[in-house]
Amino acid sequence: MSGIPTTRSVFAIVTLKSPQEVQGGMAPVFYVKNQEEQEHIAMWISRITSVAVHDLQDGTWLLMPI
Amino acid sequence: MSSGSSPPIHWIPIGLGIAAGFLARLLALRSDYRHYPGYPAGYVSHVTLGFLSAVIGAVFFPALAAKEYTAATFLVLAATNFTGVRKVEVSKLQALDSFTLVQRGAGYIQGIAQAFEERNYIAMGVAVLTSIAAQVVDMYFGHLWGAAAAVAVAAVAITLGLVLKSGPNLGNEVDARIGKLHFEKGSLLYVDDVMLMEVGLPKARKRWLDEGVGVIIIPKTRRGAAVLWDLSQRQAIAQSVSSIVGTRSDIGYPERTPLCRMDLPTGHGSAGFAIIPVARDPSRVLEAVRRTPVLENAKTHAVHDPALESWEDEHHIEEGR
Repeated sequence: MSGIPTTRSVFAIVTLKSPQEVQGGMAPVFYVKNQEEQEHIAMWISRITSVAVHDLQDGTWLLMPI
Repeated sequence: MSSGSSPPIHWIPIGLGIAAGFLARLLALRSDYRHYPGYPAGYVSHVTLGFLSAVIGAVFFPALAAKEYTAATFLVLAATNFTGVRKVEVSKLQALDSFTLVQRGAGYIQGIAQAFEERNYIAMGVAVLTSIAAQVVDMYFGHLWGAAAAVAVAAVAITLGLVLKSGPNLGNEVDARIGKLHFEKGSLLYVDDVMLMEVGLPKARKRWLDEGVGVIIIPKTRRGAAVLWDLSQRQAIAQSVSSIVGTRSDIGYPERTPLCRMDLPTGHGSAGFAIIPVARDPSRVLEAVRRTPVLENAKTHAVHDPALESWEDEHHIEEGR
């Protein structure tokens, strides 16, 4: 990071919702069955790509570069 | 004075000036927890530059007195040179910063580089004053009194230089106390009432609760309130603390980055800070916050708000400088 971080774009989406409810525009969407799988997927992507995980509190998590 | 030839150059004032200026630079040179300079090579370059500035300063007045005006103008060249020193320091620190987890930030880097430049000027100034005292007193009262005057002036100038050397620490302007880390609305990390960030991963939230240390920073002077609003100042706090107690963070773990955020709802200029330290000693975290230097560039952001002033009166916050 150099200077103030500017607007960040969503890197990936990990959601418990169905493909009808959540669709990817510019970011890939990972559809998961339960919270355990959601944590697993989100954590692995986070560790691999250094993105931060943010919880939208509606079953959808956003993965964004910090 | 014989006509045509210039008077002889006095070597005693020059020698005394060099010694005093060099001593001023040496006394200002210390490596502290900021880890800078680190290795002997770093000292060598600063000691050498300090010596050169002492030489230039010491020669200035004797050269003028001997009507060697060309020699005196070298002082101007030196100033350009020291500006160059600052630029080199900035680019070096910026390069280092680009590969650091908790960065110093632009404000801190400029402050460090400026300090190095200024210390050379102080060495030069001490040398100038000392050599003037030595030569002038020498002319009227002889060598012994000249040397005595030089020592006295040098002592005063060096002390003044050491006072000018560094600005206040954050501890002079703010109070720091331990706050409770907790999560609200599921995933928002708070220190007491100050929201810091959103932590999505449940395991990361547990890590913060188990191992994190939260600090509430409350201004006790008006300047304290002003500097905390400065982003560079808050980055300096994060960098300073993590360099003292360590931060259990790495590439791939962005949610563990230590960070400092303002208490926005009240707008009183308080801030919250959180870190997952390696050495889990809250008192050391507090001490590190207090010892963070107040950045020179952060001093000028004065906020004048009637609501703030009444709050300040209520909380006995003294007038800012």
